[in-house]
Amino acid sequence: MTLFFQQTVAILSKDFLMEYRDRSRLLSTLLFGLLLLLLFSFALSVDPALMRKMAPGLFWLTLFFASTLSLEHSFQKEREEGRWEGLLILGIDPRALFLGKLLGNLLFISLLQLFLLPLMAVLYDIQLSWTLGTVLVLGSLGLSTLGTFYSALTASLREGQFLLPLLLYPMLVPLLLASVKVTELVLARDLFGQQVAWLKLLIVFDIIFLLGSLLTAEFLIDR
Amino acid sequence: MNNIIEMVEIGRRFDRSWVLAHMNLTIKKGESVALFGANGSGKSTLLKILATLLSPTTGRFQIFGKNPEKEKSFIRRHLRLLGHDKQLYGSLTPLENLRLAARIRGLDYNDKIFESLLGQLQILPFKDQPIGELSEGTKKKLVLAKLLLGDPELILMDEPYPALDKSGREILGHLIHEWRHEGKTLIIASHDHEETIKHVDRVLTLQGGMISS
Ligand SMILES: Nc1ncnc2c1ncn2[C@@H]1O[C@H](COP(=O)(O)OP(=O)(O)OP(=O)(O)O)[C@@H](O)[C@H]1O
Ligand SMILES: [Mg+2]
Repeated sequence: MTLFFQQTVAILSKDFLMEYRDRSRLLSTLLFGLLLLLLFSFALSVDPALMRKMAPGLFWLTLFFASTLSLEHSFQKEREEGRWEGLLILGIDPRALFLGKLLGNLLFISLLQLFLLPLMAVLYDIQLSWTLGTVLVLGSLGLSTLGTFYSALTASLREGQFLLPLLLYPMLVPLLLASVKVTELVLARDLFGQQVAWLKLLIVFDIIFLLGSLLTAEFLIDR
Repeated sequence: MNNIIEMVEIGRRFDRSWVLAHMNLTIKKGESVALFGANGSGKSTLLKILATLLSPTTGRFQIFGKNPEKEKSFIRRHLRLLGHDKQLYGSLTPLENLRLAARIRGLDYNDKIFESLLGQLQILPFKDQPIGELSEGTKKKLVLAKLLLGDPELILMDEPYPALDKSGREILGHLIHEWRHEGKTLIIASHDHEETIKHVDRVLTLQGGMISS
């Protein structure tokens, strides 16, 4: 079990180091997210009330679109120079590889959120709270799990990078619905306590995605 | 258990064409074997099957007396493969590449050990330079250093010589000598017959999907 975590951490810190050395990808994704948010807000700026109402949906859409690029890159970079096989032959546990990649993507998406949130707060006049934070974490966990799963799946296919959004977006629909709904409720100070049901749904999605991908990781990663 | 590799009636097909067919191969523990054959004769395919990276389409085989379908991770832990691809990360330094490999392998090495490995391959001065900035031969030597991690029983080398200069070949020759002395089993696939023959007990040639010796 300790080897498993050692491998997970090794992958996570390697990816971290690589992304740090090659910051352009990170920066361009952050900028892309920023631009998306601004564009959405220009498109709707006629009506501030409407903007507030749309804010949760726009925020999650921005996050989904902006993270696609880096999710795709997550396993794609292992495809070059036989690195994937190199990891397998060293005896990596496919689930440790998956988990390492997943944590890296989660970290990245959280960073993207931290970057976008203040802007959201100003542009759309929303209030930050702990409940909102919980929703954001749960939503991005689901997003990174599914994204990592499809990244592993499409990395082994030629032209796989074009397939990723096609496969990912439909699967994200339930997650998107739940995340947007809870965010809406939280922002509207949820008077009737409906948010708990939606939060539970979100947690269930996360668990299903996580278990599903860990169970299939071996098949997915080791040929 | 004297045979480290036993393959019976192994076949491997890509799409419609059979690269290996009805191939039998037995290699004893401690043997050093050359694998020759024309381009596309299936040398790399055979080595990948041995490394459990590819499964054969037909036939059965054992390595270390284990079934590769069931005990993949045991087999991988006891062998190393130098492949056509370097399996290195360009933005990381030699030291970082070795560190990563060791941690995934579960080896608790410190930087002193890595540095001595790099020193053995005479690439210590490059230890903190990103791989992407290094020459091909230097990268190849780093790949050789990676083979030294842990204590593999079986070492598979797919074209170890290209990109190595004269001193690189000498270093590799020295490594092979040591490995043989330690009783490790070696398979070297190469087009450099002259150099390879110096280091092996016997020569296998792949032709028409089968092995002749
Ligand atoms: N992944 C693959 N998909 C389809 N065909 C493949 C694949 N890998 C190998 N082949 C085919 O199998 C045959 C044998 O390839 P292999 O790489 O094993 O030859 P080799 O003996 O190592 O050649 P070389 O001396 O050029 O390295 C070739 O015809 C090659 O096209
Ligand atoms: Mg080859």
